Amino acid sequence: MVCQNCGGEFRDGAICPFCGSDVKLMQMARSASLRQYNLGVSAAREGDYSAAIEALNRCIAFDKRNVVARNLLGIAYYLVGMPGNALEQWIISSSLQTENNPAAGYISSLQKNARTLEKQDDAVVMYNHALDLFANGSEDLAVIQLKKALDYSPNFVMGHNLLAAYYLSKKERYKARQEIHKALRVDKGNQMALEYLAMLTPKGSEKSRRGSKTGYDETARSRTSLSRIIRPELLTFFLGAAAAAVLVFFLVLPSMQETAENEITQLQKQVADLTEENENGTSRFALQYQQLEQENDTLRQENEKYRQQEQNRQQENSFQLAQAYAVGGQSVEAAELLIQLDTSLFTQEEQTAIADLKSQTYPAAAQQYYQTGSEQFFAGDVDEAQTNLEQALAFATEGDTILQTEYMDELLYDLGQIMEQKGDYAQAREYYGRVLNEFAGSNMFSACQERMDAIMSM
Amino acid sequence: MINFKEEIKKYGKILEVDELEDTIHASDMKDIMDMLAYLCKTKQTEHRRSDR
Repeated sequence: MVCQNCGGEFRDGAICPFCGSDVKLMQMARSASLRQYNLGVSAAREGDYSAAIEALNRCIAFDKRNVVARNLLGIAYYLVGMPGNALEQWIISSSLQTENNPAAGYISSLQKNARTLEKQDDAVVMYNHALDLFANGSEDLAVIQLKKALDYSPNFVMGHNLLAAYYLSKKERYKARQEIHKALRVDKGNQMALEYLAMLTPKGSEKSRRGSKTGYDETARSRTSLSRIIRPELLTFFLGAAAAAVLVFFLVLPSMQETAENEITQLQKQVADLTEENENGTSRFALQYQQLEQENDTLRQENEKYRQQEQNRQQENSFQLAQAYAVGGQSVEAAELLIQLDTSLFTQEEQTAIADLKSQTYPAAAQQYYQTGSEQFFAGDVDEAQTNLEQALAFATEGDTILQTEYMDELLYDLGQIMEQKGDYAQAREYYGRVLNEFAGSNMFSACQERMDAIMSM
Repeated sequence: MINFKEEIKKYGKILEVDELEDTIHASDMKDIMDMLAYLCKTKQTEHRRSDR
């Protein structure tokens, strides 16, 4: 025989000779512990965790060293949302048996999921706080704490039971039932929840008998769940919504459709009217366009009139200035102004005055330009010479009339040479031709003839 | 339906993780076997005294 207490071996008797323990009693205690352990295991397998917790607590009360029972007890505590109690059992189990003990694995698993552990512990803290608040009469705050705790830890059976008890005290049967079902879904045999459920179920009914015998009956609940979901208020709401939809379909929609059709007809008519107006020019835009065109014409005419008036004024000014120059002996300046005048803008009298003034000033201007041009030609400045000699030619002739004949032949000859140098033989021929035609007795005649022959032979 | 003030007495505080250390250190873990061993030891001591 081996002593359970000290491990000593002996043959006879029930008392250990080494430690004095009653071995038989020890064996009976150990057997009781094992029986409770088996009960706990069966209950845990059926999902009745509260019964498992009770049995396993009795088991370790008989034999504190039963680490297997402690481990299972810890699991049961954890599953009903009591992580502190679970850790307590696993820690003690680990200290009793350090090797080959799954409790160490359970503890490290919790530590790895630190956030989950924290939430479950917070739920317990809030539950404890809710108990204090209930005790102090702050029921509303307590309910808030409790609901929050159950949000954190939905499997917290004691929390659901406490909230169910509160709802029962307030006769909120539906809410109480919900909490009870939540508790029983986790812990099927929870006696507290079953008692609350019995309070809600009418006495003598099949449901209450079934519930009290076998614990939480999932099938009974599922049969009545449909009637819980389809509440009268919901049914009324959906019926009302359906009636409203029918009304809208048969009354409102046709009216809306008719209004839309009327609007479409009106718009179509407007389009037709506008198209017709546009085609026959009576549309608002066509009329506006016509009006704008007319206004534009009027403005153009006025603008032309003002321009003409301005031009006339400028011509008048130029004539007056030319007269002033002529009086002051500045014949060249006067001639330059006179040559720009448009005599058609003046009266007959003014035209006569202009002609007189030209005959007075043009010869002097022609001579001056000829002298300048000649000098430039002999200096080799062909371009400037051409400009001045052409100006001299302009002043020397008034239309077809040659005003100055003294150096005209030389002027023409010089211009012919300039054109020849520039390669404009046609123009050169013209100038030479004039000398040959108009100044037959001129000194330049033979020179012109020579040049003409040379050009013709090219 | 239910007297909440009476009902709530059935609910006790649950162990929080922060309180674990104190709880384990303070716990005087004795089981029935310890009690039986203690009883047997006490009985033995009394017998020895009476024998003297």
